[in-house]
Amino acid sequence: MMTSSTAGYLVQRIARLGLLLLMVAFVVFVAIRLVPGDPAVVLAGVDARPEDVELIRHEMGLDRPALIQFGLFVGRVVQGDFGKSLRSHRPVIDDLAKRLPASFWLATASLVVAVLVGMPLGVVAAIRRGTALDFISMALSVSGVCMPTFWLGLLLITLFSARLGWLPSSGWEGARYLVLPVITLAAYSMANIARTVRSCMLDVLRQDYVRTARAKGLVERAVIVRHALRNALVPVIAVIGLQYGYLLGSSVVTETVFAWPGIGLLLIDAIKNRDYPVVQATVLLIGALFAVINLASDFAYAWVDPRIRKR
Amino acid sequence: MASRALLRGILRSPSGLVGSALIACMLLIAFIGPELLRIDPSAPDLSAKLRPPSREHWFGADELGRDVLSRVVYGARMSLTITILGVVGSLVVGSALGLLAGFRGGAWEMAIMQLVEMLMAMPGFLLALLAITVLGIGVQNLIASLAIQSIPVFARVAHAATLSVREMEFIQAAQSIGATERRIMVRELVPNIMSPLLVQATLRLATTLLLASSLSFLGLGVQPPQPEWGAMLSGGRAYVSAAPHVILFPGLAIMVTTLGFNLMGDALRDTLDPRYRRE
Repeated sequence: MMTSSTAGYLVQRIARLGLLLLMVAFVVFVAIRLVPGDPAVVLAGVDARPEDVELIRHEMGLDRPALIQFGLFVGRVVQGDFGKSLRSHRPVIDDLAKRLPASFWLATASLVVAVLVGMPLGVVAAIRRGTALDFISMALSVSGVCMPTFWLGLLLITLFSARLGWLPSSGWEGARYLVLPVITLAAYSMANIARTVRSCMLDVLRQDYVRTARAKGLVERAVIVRHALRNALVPVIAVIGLQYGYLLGSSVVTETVFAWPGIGLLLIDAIKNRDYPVVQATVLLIGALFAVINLASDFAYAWVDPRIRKR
Repeated sequence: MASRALLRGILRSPSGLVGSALIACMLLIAFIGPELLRIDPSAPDLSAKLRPPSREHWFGADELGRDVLSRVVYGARMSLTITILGVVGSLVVGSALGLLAGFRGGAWEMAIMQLVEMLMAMPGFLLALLAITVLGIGVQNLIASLAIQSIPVFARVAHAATLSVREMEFIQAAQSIGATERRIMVRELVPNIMSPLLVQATLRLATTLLLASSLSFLGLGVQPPQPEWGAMLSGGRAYVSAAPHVILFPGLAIMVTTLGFNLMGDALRDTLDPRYRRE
């Protein structure tokens, strides 16, 4: 009974992922066609030769009904064919493959840091509610939420690269290069996680089962870690999933500040240069990653909280 | 809730008080400051290039010798105008869509909410970037992109609120005395779904300001030499070692304003939504 409903839940969520991915593809498909001008010229570049424009027009089926065009588009995307960059004339997929690891490591390392710092901060704030510790950790998290990412990055560069010369301010040639970008990117998520953990912990600490755990004489540490924190984690996991998606999106800004060779920097350059095939592919990729990560966090959510699977 | 009671509710909480004060100051700076200051924000003075804060230039001078204080003040006008117009635009369009979907139901609801879901399939930041790709770079397009990015959020909130009010007796009463659909939506529904929308709008002002200044920083929003906080940071980033004051003040301005909007939004939510009220 239990396993079949779990399987049902998984199938349902995966089907939903497929739908979401189609939606992302559709939004991108429509957007590129909304760019003023002939879509074939838009994707071939304004200075393309007429025969190249015709080739693209034929490949994309621009003379055929819109729905078939969308079908052809999805078909090409599934095969990893995103066309050629108008600037480098290389297949877009090559650039993406080259740039993705840098972005992936930046976002992942930032998430890890955000969780490792944000969770304890939130827990401490909750169990020491109203004390100076609570105040300090909440002040930290409020500034994390309000501070513009790029400003924090610039301040860190000013202090640690320009003044002290301890850490490099741009590029990616080793672990040392990760430090400043990761702090920059993690700050906002860390703040959000700390806030969520604090409010969830405060809710949970008021519950009867926590009182029971204390009443039966458990040491406070066990009450907090085994009873309170585990239950407080459920909503926190959803926030962490959201934060990962957010990190992938907002790494665009951090990558620009630190000249980080990831897909975010690629996207911004492409938008400025009207390199539409690259924009299309990058937005699709980030959108798809966002959807997949949300699915993964749904699964984690269901794994921690059996009530969700049964619904 | 009457607007007076609302205001009292916000001002009673310490964070609401601080937030409102910050925003009031920023609005004053933005809309009266330039008249009081009377320093041209784009007048270059190469002899003052990158000069640190002094009696002559309170916030120092930037890479072209322009007065940073004056640019921060004019930038406040630019940044706040863009942010407020972006949020108001999405509030109006998004709420109208959500209201229509919730009230009409059926095919309208299907179509509108499907569109909303589609826009929500990707992160808001990405949606804004895509909108800029289509519309092109410029102040008006920046405002439009900010609005597009938030439309699905307001549509969802308005839709949910409308659904909860739609079946209430006073709506049936209005229908039974023959009120037109438009009158019911505007006179009966809108006032009753306003609270959650207001909370969302205030909180949204904070994220929109951050997004707007990020986009300008990336070179996709307000273009130099126009004074705008994000664009100023982009201009000053090459000089951080020689002149950190150039990036210090615009960033502080963004942070303080965002803080103000967030505090106000939280206080508003606490006032309107009893679930969040402190026990």
